[in-house]
Amino acid sequence: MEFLISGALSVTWQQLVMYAVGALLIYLAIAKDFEPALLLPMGFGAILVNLPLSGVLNQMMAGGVASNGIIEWLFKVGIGTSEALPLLLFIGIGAMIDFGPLLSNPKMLLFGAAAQFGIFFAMAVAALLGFSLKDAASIGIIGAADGPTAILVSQVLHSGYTGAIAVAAYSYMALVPIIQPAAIRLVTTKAERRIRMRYNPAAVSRSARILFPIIVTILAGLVAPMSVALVGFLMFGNLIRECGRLGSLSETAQKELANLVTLLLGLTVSFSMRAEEFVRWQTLLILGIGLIAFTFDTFAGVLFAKFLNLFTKNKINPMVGAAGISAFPMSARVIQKMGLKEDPNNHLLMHAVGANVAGQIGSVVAGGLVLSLIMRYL
Amino acid sequence: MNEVFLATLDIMWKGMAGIFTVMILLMGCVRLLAALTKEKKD
Repeated sequence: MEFLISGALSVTWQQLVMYAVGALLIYLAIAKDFEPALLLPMGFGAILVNLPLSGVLNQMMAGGVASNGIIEWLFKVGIGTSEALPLLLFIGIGAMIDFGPLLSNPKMLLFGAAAQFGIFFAMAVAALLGFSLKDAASIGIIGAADGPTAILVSQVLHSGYTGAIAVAAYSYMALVPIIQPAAIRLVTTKAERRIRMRYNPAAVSRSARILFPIIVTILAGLVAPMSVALVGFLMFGNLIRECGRLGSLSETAQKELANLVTLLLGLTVSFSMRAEEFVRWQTLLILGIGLIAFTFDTFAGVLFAKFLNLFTKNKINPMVGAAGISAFPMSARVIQKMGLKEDPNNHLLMHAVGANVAGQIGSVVAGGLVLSLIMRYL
Repeated sequence: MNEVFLATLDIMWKGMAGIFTVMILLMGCVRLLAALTKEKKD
């Protein structure tokens, strides 16, 4: 009867830690509503891949018989070979985004650029802490505040920390309502937070909505060729939405495709949460650097808005700059809430939404640029 | 100084310059698009 307890006897303490991590992620997903669509599959997957001789991983059985595991296969096919899952998710995300508030106020694009600074700052911090360049770049990309981009970049660079990076990226995205208000208060005064902004949206024509995703793809592709897959799939999804002829495809991309891929992505990423890869002190460092990345994204967005205010007549509420991160729509909602808290008649939502969707473009362009630039050093 | 750190500084300024370039070009394109595709009011 030894076979009944052989599994239990071969559990290592690192695997026990991973069960706790898995349980924590499931708890955060269910009890705290932290990115449940991703954290719950990742948490459950973390338990699946860390059971001794787990059937979801490739195994060499007694007698030399090879057994293929579904999660390992999904990882190799869905992420390892072509980064298909994060890219497919971008079609769904693109179909969900309404670029209208950005097109009617294109100045907001600048915040989508400024608020990517955390990526590069975190990368430098990771390098100072002793990570290799490709790992530092992969860790820095947590600051894109964009889970699929973080997974894709870390995978293209063959970082050994994909699991920790994905956990950090999704956890901090869920924590945006806590991180951003604290960071914003550190670099703004009450008077600045009370600045009112008029909202006079210019009408956006249908042709502009259709041409925009095509132009973004070509422009980003010319400047950062490595971003073509990321930007291209995001903008393809948006083109389906805006063309007006593919209503059912747009709906499918927004719901069924996005849901299916999200479901599989969480489980698939859990392959990189095997105890031997995850339970190491670098994971804690990565979680710390991820927090720095989000904080400096926020600082940069706010400070850039303050910088613009030196030259503009119509002042920008600096908090809007913080919405230039990709975490959509959480960041825009946080800014709206903070604005209302300072002044019940200060409605910043549409400005913040414009900056927030600009952040979606900024994050994928940043991902492509990081990949392009880093190739020169590898 | 740490070579990897110096490389990240180089990537930092080039990366930020690249993102701002894309965004400023996009801003110009959006304004141009708005002017070219202005729908006539009835």
